[in-house]
Amino acid sequence: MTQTFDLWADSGYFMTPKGHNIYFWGFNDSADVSPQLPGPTLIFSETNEIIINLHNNLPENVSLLFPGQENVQYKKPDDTWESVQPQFSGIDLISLTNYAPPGATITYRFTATNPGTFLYESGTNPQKQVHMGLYGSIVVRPHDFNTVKTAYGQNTGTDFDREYLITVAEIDPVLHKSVEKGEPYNIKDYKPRYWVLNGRCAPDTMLKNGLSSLPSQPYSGMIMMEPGEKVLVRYIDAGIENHPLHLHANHTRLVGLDGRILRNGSTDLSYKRFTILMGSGQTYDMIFEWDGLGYTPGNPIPTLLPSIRNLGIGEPGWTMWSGSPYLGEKKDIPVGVVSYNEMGEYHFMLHSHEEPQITNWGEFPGGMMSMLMIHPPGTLSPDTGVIRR
Amino acid sequence: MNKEYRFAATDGYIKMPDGTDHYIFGFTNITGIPENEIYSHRGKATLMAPLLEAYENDDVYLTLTNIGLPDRPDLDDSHTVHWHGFPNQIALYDGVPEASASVPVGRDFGYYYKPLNPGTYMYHCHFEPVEHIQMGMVAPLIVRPELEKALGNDGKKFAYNDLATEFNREYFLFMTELDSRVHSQVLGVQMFEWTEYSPDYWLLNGRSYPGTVDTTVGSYPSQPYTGLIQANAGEKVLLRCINLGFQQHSIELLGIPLKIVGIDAQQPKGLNGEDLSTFKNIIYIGAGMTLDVIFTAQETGTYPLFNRSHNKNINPGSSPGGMVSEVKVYPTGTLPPQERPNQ
Amino acid sequence: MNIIKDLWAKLGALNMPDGSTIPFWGYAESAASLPQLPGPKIEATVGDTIQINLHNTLNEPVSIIFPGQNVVPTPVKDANGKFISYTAHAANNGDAVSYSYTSDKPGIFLYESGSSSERQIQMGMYGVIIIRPAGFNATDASTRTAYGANTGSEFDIEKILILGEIDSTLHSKIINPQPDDMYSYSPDYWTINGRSYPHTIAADDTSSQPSGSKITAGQGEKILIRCINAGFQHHNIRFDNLTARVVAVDSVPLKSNILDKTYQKNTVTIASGESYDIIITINTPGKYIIYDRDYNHLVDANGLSSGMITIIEIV
Repeated sequence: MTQTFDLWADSGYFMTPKGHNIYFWGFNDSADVSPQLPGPTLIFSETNEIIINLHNNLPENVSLLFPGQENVQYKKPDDTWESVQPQFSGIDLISLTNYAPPGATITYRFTATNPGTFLYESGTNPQKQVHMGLYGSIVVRPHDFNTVKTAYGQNTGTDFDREYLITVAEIDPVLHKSVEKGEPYNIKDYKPRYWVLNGRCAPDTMLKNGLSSLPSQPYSGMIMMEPGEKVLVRYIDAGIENHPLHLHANHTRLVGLDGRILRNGSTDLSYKRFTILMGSGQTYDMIFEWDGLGYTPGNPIPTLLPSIRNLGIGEPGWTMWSGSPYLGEKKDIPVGVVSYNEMGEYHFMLHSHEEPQITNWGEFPGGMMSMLMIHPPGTLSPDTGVIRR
Repeated sequence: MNKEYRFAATDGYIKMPDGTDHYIFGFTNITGIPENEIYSHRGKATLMAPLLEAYENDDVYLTLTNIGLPDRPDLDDSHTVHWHGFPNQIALYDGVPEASASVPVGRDFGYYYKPLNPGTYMYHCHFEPVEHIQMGMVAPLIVRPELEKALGNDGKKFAYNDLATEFNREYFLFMTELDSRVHSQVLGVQMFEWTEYSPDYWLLNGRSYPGTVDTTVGSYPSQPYTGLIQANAGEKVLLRCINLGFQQHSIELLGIPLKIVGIDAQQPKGLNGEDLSTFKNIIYIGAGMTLDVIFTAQETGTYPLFNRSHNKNINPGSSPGGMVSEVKVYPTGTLPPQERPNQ
Repeated sequence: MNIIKDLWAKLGALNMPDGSTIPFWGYAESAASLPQLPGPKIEATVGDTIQINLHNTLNEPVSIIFPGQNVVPTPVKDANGKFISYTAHAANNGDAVSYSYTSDKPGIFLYESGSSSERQIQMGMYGVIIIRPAGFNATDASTRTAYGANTGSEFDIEKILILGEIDSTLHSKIINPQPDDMYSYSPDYWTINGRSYPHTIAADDTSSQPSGSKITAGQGEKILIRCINAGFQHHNIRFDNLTARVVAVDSVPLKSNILDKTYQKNTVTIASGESYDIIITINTPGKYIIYDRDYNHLVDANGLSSGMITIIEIV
């Protein structure tokens, strides 16, 4: 089978939580709307032929790299196909792959040979264009995905109930402003002030998918699950820094790297971590499980909970806590504190442990941070935790 | 077994080998201190903060008491304890103020943990974590395996429930950095712009070289741990590497191969028990990670230990400094058995 | 066998693709010859005795350390007990010091400065030692492996990629000399085998940067790429759109008779001092780029395309 995608590279604006609009370059899958950050998630089925038409609405050459995809080809003007090649002007390397000039289209083709998580990004002036936002995520489904939901196929230890994609990067607003104004910028001066998770800075990462108030940043960064479920979390580092992402609440089991399973035949090479040191340009597939410690009002915590009068609750004016130690129970919180807790769910933080990265230009909380929500059993829709475009 | 701790959150000062003093926030151990003496511990924070240790399946009761910051009396920040890496945690005891509760000045809060997995963890304050971690509210945390209590292993020490993780001595390599501008600005009631973070001191166990190898009693009163590693020839040494700084570090021990037996408080094992432990020359560790490393001391001598990113092995105006220390190997029988980590 | 190598620690000059000339300290093979970046390659077989005689022509102590090899260091300290050198040194201009050891395991290892390492290594005082497994014969496919039989490290073509960084401002300050300022360490050139692109793809020569890093191979040949990071930063080395197999890390092979822990990667993070041995096989003719995915390392001091880039050409 063949799957065909169209991507437009264009300019737009994304928003910081303080409401500042930052100029960026990105991809979208429609000619009529402004681009998004990250670009649209592309979902392929293993063994399918993939065709991607890249339409360039930007003022300079743009291309697509598909790291981890094999035998990528592009369509020549005479409609024949040829393997992509780095592009030179004399000895100068002007693009890591074949590109589309401004106003033109280039078509790439390859077969999705391996299930997993991948990155796509511009290979032309990448030190500028990738920082400007020309990147997105690829998920390749195993061929037997309709039989059982797995990351890498049946009997690979990668079964899951829900899945989430977390793509991180950095933002140097000076670079963005320089490109917007057409002024020179030396990447040697790169100095990030914002760190984005799914294109958003915290606390916007914790808002829902597809909000009209964030038209260029459609992807939420929340992970939601019920106890006992298996959750597949796919990390992608699209930035140029390495980021140690720490998920509270439990270890994860790392099952795949760069779209290749950690397994040789029957030898399993997966391993558990509580912090994943993500390398620039790399992807990480993890299975996360949490079943709690068994506390209920009938099996209470073995200490007294102090009066809420003696606790600091919601010091920024809001809290995500239920007021109770128990999953599914809501109790009093102090008057005047806004509670975002819906039904006694637990919230756990997901964040970079290079803590200046969980600020927005120095202000905590912000940046590369989100939450894991554990819902009481039976309260989460089966439509939650399904990766869509 | 019940294990009870009471830690106080307060402030204090640490010093660097160049003689400079730096203001810190931190914890100090007030377990068993009478209630009416608690406030005499204000200003006595240490870096690293006190070690928290337990056996798996212990019932750990930790009371955090916020006794305030005497040198920043205007700042009434709350504090928490976040057990970083605790498996299957519940929100109440996770120490994230936005998702549970924190401890205001003058108050107590009781945390309860029943650790089920041995290994090397860390704890830190999670209130405004970028500030409170950099200011020094950071510490190591050890969960010991029940194998040590099992019959026939009397007195033997293990990192995990695995005979292959036996050791004779254990040491922390607890990595942080210090941007002195942060510390002076916090003391001076100024705001630091965190994206400008650029440390000028790199610390092992709260000290910078040559402070890391200074064993003079009382020379670093608020930094109780040296970074000096000592063993008799033939002994197995466990290094519990913990990074609670904001940078990645590449630690190298010259002349001795290092075996990685634990990462993030887990033995490296595949789903079918595949042994994924490995020897390494470089311990590459990101912020918020732990690694357990065992080596066997062989020839007597002094083995330099440093950050392979040598630009971090400096103090302002002098080198070597920063993340440098030594492993000293003595003839068999020289050192008495170790009674506590980093002894 | 005894391998004896004399090295002279010397001042030299590097030529960069943008036309700039940067002073550096490196190792030369004789008193009269140019110092090299990286230092001269030293090759031996497991069981060989390696003797290195280091001659100092600089005005400060120099020494060589051998991380990852069975060499017991003999540090030199000052009156206060502080390290001057992490191992025995040649204290003054004109002095010499000798190191000798028996290699006990195959792999690729850095040799580098153990004196004022924060200054001297970034000034260029590093090189590699390659230890071949017992029975290795480069012309015999059956013994041409990085780590011996059953380690999954058989290869047809081998290329060593030594990653480095240069802070040209710091180099000028140090040779002048002005007070060091390692806090300001901020490289402006990124190198493979001492060269920045496009010099990386030029042929080997007799300059102070003698080693190119372009790889030429046939379709389906097993290419062993041995990346070792002599810089102080980590680098994320990407192999175009390709997927490579990691067969050893820090010269510890991942495959044995009982367990195959090798794994596949497109991009590999290589921390300061680490080494990764990677095998890649390419069936489609053409050019493939190896580069640092930290895109800010693919430029020169002027921000133009350069830096840590090289090419595989399949013919």
